Amino acid sequence: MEQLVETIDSVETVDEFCHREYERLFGTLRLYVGDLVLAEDLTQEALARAVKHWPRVRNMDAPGAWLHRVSINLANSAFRRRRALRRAEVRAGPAPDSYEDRDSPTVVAVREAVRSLAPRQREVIVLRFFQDLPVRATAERMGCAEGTVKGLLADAIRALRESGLEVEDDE
Amino acid sequence: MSEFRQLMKQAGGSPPHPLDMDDVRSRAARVGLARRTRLGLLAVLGLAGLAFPVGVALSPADRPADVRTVDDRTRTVDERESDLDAAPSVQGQERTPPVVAAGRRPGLASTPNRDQSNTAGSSTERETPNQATVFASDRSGAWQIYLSDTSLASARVITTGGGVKSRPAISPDGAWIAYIYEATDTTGGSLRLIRRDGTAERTFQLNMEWDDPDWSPDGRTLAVSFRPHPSEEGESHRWAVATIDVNVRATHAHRKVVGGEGHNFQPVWSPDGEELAYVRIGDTGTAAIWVTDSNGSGDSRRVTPEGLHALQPVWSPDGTRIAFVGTRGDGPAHLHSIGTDGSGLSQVTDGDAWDGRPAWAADGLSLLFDRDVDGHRAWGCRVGASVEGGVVNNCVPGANGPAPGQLWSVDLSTREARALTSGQHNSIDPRTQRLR
Repeated sequence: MEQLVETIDSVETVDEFCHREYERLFGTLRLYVGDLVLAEDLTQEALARAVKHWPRVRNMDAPGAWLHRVSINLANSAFRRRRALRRAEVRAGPAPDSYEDRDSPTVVAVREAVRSLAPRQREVIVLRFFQDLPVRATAERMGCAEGTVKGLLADAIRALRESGLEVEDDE
Repeated sequence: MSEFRQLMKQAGGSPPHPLDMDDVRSRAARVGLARRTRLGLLAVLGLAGLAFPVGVALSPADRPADVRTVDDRTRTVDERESDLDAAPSVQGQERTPPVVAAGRRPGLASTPNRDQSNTAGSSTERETPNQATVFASDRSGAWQIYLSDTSLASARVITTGGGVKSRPAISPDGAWIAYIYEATDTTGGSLRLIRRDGTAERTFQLNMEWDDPDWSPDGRTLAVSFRPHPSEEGESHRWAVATIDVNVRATHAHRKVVGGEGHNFQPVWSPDGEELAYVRIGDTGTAAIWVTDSNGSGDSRRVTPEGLHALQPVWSPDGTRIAFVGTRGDGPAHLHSIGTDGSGLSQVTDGDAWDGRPAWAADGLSLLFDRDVDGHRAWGCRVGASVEGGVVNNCVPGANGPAPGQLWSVDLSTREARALTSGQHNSIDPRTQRLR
């Protein structure tokens, strides 16, 4: 009986999964789309997908990777973006950038520089420098070869440096 | 950790609000919906949150700044509103003479949305004098509102364009139809009025989600379900009942008349206009029919018994009974009727089909309703209350197949039910109005 209880407890619920992923997913999307309110909206939307498909997601080897893919797809979708923006405006008014004022100029500059990157460069930078994923895991998340990740990283770092940021070489 | 990594952590930041799983679940219920027919009512159970103060009316500053175009028409809503220059006639006087014998309207024969082949049983259909019937149908490929002054065989389309239109209700003078419009790329429904000839349309541009419009007997007021948009920050997602004075144009003021505990929705006026019947879903998750004064004063009283999931009420023409959709457990939904004092509960339909949206014929002898013979696929559609994971689901036809539904009629004396429409397309949400 004790073993059975332990087994049951070890099964992650969808609530636990969402709470565990929430902050990281939000940060990823904040950097990816640049806007706080939109990022929060997209985060909720992505988590809703996880809830919707939880019976399938929970049996995946890497549900976090699936969630990441879904969130990036959502962010990339112009349709979804417009829809989310409308909701964001309903919630926060038409000037969500006012949130940026709370951050230091350097942080704002980092966010803007990342936002100016091409989508794939943005994603690789976020995965490597925000989520701290190894190159291999980054490649898995992005569905590409490790060599592609390294190439994208090099281009992204170069672009960030051209924006005036001091970025160390990827290790 | 490198400085750039630290800056990245700061730039990612933390969510401004704690994760709201109720909101997530509410969204999950809508995932994958390119179209929602809004046959039911999306509601989230057990949510605590902000209640709107009684009598709240949004100021112009609260209204969306954008002026949206309606469907594929070239003029904006506001332009058409200026054409109207007023809300629906409350004196029974239309500004144009749009009443043309159904089926003989000029140009109607070439209207692609009209699909006679979709209608059956018209030869034997009982015609009730001075009654208009409206319903929603996808027979043209898009969900539109249809109007019939005589038999359903002569129903004509009123609305055009994209999006999903549902929940039609025709004003007592027959001049206007209120309905719920939902664009395919937005959440929540907006409340619209359209003249019976489709010549002018008006949108209530309140920053709310609307559902279930119902005209007061004097045609001056709409009772509606409303709630803040699901994504609105800091507010609950509870549905409440409001009344809207259709003649108030400055702010389209609405007045909350039922709110508070649980979800309150699907309001319908009593024939004398003194009371409203509505659905309340409390924290237990059981839906029941309640009745209250139409001005929001006084106590509410429960009409339907415990153990019966009851939704979609409608008053009988003589005001003595209320028809509704009821089910026990997970079984099919059937039409029922009950006295307004809670006595004389009677099951009207039976069988395996899932019935919904009852509407009394003007003579009070039969009920029009929509029937889903394969209703297990659309339980939420039929009665608006699929309790799954604590969420009362709306109709989700996209998730489980096409939205099913045909219009039926049941004779209240013989309990004999017969189909009024058939075919591969769907017709739902019937509503009748005895014209004065």
